[in-house]
Amino acid sequence: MKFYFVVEDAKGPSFIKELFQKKRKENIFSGILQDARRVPILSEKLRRVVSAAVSVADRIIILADVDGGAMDEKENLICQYVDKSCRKQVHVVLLDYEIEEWICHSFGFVINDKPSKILKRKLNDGYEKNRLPNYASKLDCKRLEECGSFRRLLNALNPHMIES
Amino acid sequence: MGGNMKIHIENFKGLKDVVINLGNFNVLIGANGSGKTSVLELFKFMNLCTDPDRTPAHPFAHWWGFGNIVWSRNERLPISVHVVYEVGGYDVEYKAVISGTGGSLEFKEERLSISNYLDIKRKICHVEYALDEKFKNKHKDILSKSNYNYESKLATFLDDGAVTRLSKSTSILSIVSGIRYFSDELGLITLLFPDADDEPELYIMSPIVGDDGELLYLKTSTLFESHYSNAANQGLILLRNLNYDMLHQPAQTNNPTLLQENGEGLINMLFQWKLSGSWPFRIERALQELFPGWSIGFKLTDDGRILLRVDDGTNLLSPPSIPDGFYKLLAILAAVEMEPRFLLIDELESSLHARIIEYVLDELRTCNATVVVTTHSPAVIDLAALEDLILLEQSGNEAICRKIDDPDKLNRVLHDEGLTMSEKWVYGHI
Repeated sequence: MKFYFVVEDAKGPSFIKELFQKKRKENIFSGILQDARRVPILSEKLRRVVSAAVSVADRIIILADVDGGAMDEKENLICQYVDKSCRKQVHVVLLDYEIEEWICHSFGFVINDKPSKILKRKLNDGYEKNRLPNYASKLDCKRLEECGSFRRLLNALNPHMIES
Repeated sequence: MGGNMKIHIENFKGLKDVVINLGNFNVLIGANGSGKTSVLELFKFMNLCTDPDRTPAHPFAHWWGFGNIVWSRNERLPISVHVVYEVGGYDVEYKAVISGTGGSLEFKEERLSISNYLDIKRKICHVEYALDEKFKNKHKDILSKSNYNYESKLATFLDDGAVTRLSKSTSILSIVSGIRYFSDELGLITLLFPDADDEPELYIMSPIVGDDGELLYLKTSTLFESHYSNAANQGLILLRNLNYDMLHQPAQTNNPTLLQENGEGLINMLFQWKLSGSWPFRIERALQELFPGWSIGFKLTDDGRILLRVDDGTNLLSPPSIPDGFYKLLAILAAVEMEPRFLLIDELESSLHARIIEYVLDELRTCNATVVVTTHSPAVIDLAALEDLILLEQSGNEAICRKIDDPDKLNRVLHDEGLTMSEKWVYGHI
């Protein structure tokens, strides 16, 4: 199965590419990563990108930050920017806050703030967004079993999952 | 640095009276001739005016004379720049009124004002310094107990405020001649007034701010500086019209390892990194992701120059065969690696594929500089947040600059109309 990621975070595509490569080697992810692109999620650009991607991938995964907000509301908003004809191939994976929550879970940090801020405080050499892809290899899938958004990602990557 | 900055520009090129509010990442859009590049050039102009070692000595020479950079070619008008920003919790204002009548650089007025710390005012050659009373009282004891014998000059300064003279073509930002640190909180700046007969030196206390523990005075006085004298990084980098023909030539080993606006210095910087044994992670990752299997190498020519060679996994590419976009990508990443305070890139998209543009935008968005790019590219416009866009338009012979008043509202309009931002901008009206 070919996957196409649409990510709203800066450095998100590099992170996903790195993650996919590592986890495929560990047999945690299967399938092929066709591409990962950054797109402003709530914009007509998303509609254009998704419409173009449906012909090159079997499943398009939109990875979006909720930043502690309401999940249903964000998903509904995103769906407004996806053409009905494409929706069968699209899965929205919502992050409770942002991608950095996977790093926090992997390091055993309690999430009581925006995850990127927690990383800035807790990591010895600080944390800069431009280093996000470097942390893809440090994700601990065992610990991430407890993380809702990572479970949602694994579901979306499951080729047997029924299309929405 | 990053952070918000308000710049009020008067009489510079087509910018008669323009206020620009910069965030961390800024995308200037507008038709040809709307003034986008002028905004970038304003930084270059201020860099030249405040640099005592500028070459040539007259900053206007870069534009073939003052008449070519003053609004409406009216040489009687001064160029005025007023910048408001924040450093380490201090509000900073810098204003310069610069005349070039007759081709001579003259600071008519200049002022550096830092809240709760310092106020420096100059009119032509006359300069006045005043420390904030509370700051002065707080640190008086520390200075008197110090081992340094600065009391006489400090006393004048501390009691009455210092008054001295400065050449009309020298900026108050460019007279730092030495620094000393007293403690984790306080340091001392030595200012040099080469024109003053009696008291050529003046000492100014400065708080230490920020994670890097730098003196506040230095952080503000180097606002437009391109190269900090004691640092490996560059303060202000402008990339514009990369000269690919030059980049194809072997680089002289005595070329500066500073990045110039036409890309000069790039090969030397890359060579230095190669010699150091490790590439900056930004460059390494970009190659892995955008040019997988490619590697960078060098060959020294018989006469000792540096020739860039790229292995694309199949062939060894000589400089003229290396894609222009590869040079451009390296130049931008090298610029980011220098951790500048301002990174200014004209026509970001030129020579770059949409995928590389996307990658580069991520790099620029996540670096610590205040980044200003100009573009005509729909790809860049649609990847930028609406809040990041700065629109420049011509009205008569004046440029008008604005940001989007209500991004949420515009986003709803775009959704209702089924248009991307670039479509609305190019084919409609914002």
